[in-house]
Amino acid sequence: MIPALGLIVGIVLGLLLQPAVPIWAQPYLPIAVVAALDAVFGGVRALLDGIFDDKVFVVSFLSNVFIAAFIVYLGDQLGVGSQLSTGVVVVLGIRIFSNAAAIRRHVFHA
Amino acid sequence: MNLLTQVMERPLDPGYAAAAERRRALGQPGHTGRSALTLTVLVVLGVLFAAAALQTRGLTSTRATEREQLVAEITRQDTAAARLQKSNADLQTQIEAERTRQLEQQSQGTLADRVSQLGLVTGALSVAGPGITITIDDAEAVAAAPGSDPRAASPAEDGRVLDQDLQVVVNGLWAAGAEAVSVNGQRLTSLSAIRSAGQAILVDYRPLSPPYRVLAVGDPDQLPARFADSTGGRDLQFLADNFGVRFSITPATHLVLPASAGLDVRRAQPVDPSPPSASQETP
Repeated sequence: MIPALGLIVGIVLGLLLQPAVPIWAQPYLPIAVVAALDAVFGGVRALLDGIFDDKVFVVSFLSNVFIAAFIVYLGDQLGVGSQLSTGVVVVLGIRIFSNAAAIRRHVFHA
Repeated sequence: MNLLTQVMERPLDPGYAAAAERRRALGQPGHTGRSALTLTVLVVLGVLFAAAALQTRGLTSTRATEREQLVAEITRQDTAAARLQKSNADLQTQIEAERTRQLEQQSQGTLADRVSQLGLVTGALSVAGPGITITIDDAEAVAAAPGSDPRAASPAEDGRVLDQDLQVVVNGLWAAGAEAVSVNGQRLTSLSAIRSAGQAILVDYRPLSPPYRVLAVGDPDQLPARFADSTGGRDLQFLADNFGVRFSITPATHLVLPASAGLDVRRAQPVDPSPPSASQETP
């Protein structure tokens, strides 16, 4: 309950403060968000599996965001930025789907 | 396929299982509590979501400030261009005055008269005098519609004034005996072009925005009647009747038409001192 409240507080804060995203970071923000989503779904699943670990969660969140952004940055420098972002989104999307399926099994037992 | 299978079958970070294993070996429960660290990360995540969403909708302050900066820059450059145009016009007036003085000093009074007369006709000199003002505007439906900015791309509407409408009006004015014509402050010469680019009407490659004010210097008693009788006047009436284009014709006792900015010397030949009529001044 409290973590969900934290998420809502963060969204409200972001909407109120409207943080200015630096121009150099703008291309990497969407992919970072997808990576963060993956970490969150992983965390929720671990919670339901009974093996949640806050340190693993925080580290996986930070490394996911950083690595996803870095891969896209690298791709941009090498001229394959859009292809690499597609790859990252596909892989993360599959993971999110699988984790969401596991969460669904936990919650609905179906 | 091995990679995809792995991603599909083991979506959970192996770190969780490893950490749980380690804790169980130490005799602790398999999961830890939800610490402040987790909460912080989730708040950060929320901010990230909001930032990304705002970013995509273009509402963030960076976008807004950039836009404001661009608008300010455009305004600044517009003022600068207007200032330069004014100084250009002033210098032009000085040059004309100086030339007239020189010619008169050299007792070439006829030549000076001829130069200024040609200047008035060709548009090289500004003109003041009585005449008529024709104001033409898009039909109300077009003007009220969103995106009535003439430079914005939108489907063609019937009630919009087109470049060819202005051409017909201007030609009608010339035919009706106008001595000088300007459209929204752009003096027309024999080399002027009235064209369109997208939805905007360009006169001498300068975009105009409605309403279009066509000033014509000429006999104020005859000009309105003769214009109304010309092709231009009839076409304008036709546009007003059928497409709702709005226009008004008002006589004016004193109109000032600026000199054309688009004229330069293309051809020149030395003045033959004896017969002044042989000299040619091509502005």
